[in-house]
Amino acid sequence: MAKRAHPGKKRQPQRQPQPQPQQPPPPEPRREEENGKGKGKGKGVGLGGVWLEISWAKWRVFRFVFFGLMSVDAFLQVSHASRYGAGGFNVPHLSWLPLPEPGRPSITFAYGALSVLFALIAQGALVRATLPIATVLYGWTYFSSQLDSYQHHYLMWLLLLILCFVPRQPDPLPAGAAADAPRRVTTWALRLALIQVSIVYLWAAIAKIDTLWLDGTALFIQVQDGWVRRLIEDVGFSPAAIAVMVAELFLAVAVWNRRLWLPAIVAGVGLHVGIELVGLEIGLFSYLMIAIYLLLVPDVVYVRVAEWLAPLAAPLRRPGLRHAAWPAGIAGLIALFVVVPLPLGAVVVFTALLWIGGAVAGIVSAERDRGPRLAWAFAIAAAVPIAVHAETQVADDYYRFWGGAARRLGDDKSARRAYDGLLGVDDTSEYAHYHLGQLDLAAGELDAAYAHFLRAKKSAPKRARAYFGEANVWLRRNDPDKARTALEDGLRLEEDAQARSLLQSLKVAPAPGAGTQVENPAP
Amino acid sequence: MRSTFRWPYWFIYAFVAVQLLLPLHYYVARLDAYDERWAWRMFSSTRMVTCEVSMTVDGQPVALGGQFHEAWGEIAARGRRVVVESMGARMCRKHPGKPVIARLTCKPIVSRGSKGPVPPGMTRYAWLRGSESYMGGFDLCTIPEL
Repeated sequence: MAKRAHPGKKRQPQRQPQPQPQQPPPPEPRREEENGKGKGKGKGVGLGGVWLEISWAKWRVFRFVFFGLMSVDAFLQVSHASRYGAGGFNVPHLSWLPLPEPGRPSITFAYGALSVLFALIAQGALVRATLPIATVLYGWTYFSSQLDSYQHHYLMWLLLLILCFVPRQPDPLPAGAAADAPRRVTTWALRLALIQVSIVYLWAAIAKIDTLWLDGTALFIQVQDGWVRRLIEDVGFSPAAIAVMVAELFLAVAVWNRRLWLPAIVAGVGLHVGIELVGLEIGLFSYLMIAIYLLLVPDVVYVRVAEWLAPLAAPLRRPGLRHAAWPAGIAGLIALFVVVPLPLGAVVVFTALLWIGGAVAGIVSAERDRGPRLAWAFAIAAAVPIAVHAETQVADDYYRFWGGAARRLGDDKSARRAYDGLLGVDDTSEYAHYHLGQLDLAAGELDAAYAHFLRAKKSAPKRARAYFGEANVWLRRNDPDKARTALEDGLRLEEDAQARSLLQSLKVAPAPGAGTQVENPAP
Repeated sequence: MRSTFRWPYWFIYAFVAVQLLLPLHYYVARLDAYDERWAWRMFSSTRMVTCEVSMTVDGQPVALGGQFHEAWGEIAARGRRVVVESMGARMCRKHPGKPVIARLTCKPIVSRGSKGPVPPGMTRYAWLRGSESYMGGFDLCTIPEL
């Protein structure tokens, strides 16, 4: 997709070479822009200023950080998959767009695949294929349902779409330049990405021309308690709110304007660090926005860091690592399937097919190093969801949210699958055992219900609800003495009005009616 | 050679134009002020509205939590009309010939200057609630596009 087009921007003086005769003559956007003529004449030369030349090292660092964060964020989204298609209801963002309806399995696949795809893009692996696929998948997850109404997800999709057009290789070296000279990339796509971010800041500032923002009310409500709130209280909510709006207006002008990049970094990073510190629940959005400011950092920083890192990368070219690449990649995919207790089989198959496709392309192109590099890229890409799973509650939440929603919507069969899945994550889960006990109790499977309540009691000895569940089992077995004992044990841990009432009725009438039991006391 | 440069510029023109104009739609044409999609209105006070949503089918109240995932209930509670109407449309299909009526009782936030300090034991959200406004109250099954 990212067809190379040379904009003809002036090179750095120290690398100003004699023009190569083989290179196409550059268009002259600068000249026409400077004299103010010819803008938008259909020749494409009037927008010469839209081309952006940056160091290749900067693009690679940005790509690594931005898509690395996107990879983590995608896997975190898996936990919400169960809301899609629940109860057979959905409202798409654009009703006229014929998109496939989302459901729990398809969204699980999409976010799982996105996590792997973004990790591959972060490493620069198969970007020609992976970035457009990721853009389509991400767009589908967003546009197919209003369940995702996060404006930052919409922004990320727009940026993905734009970044598809960034060249996959750096500009050719100027004639006479050393082979290891710093490489550069010239593209309109990165400028457009920055313009897009500027437009967001502009409209965000316009939206804040509102009494409730300017007098500080909106900020007063949203900022969480803590030292940042105390700091804002000292300044005043209204001045702070106005400062946010002014910062956004400044960023709307500065982000796409190279001359203003240094103050833009200060204002933009400061703004997003502030947003992160006030405790708004916006996931990794602040970090993603801060990552965008990597594009504004002066090139020289990246060139120097690249020079410093170059010797450190030498050990990565050892033959041993080449030989270990394929086993590592295969092990990574197997580990993704085995270690992460989520239904990711389709993701593993998709990833394997992608790998095979990339390997075939490598054979066709006869690039000697491509196979091992690709294998390592897949090994690392598979490691991202594994690492996020190890550090977070994604799998646990996935089954909890699924089970809870299915239970509330009256789909006991689906709820049982979810709770069984949760036991696959944690076989001591009080939550899963308790609700499985309730489902078994409702189905008349008293032995199974009793076993689950016992496990729940063992897992959370200070929670009362499993005791009340056990009491219901004894009542169904017409054993009021044991029911009374279970209720008393539970009430010693936690007070519950229904359980107390039932206990009283058991004391008054030792032989209770068949229908008497404690209802589900807690979600 | 220059003709090969033409397409990105038109793409850029179109992209920037759409991104500049689309948010404008919210301010000049959108009927539902609580639907802030595509308008880049992050952290807006409109987003903080809270609505109580109730629905009846043939006069009988419906437990929405048993019909729709709670996430849809949360979006409806922000007053987004298209979601409430879609929920109604679903109930219309489930109960053909019976009137489906949704009622939204919404409380926007009001300026903190008009309310004074937050009393102890009360959340900021709860304290800065304004007077109620109402939406709905008619048979959703009579909306043509439903």
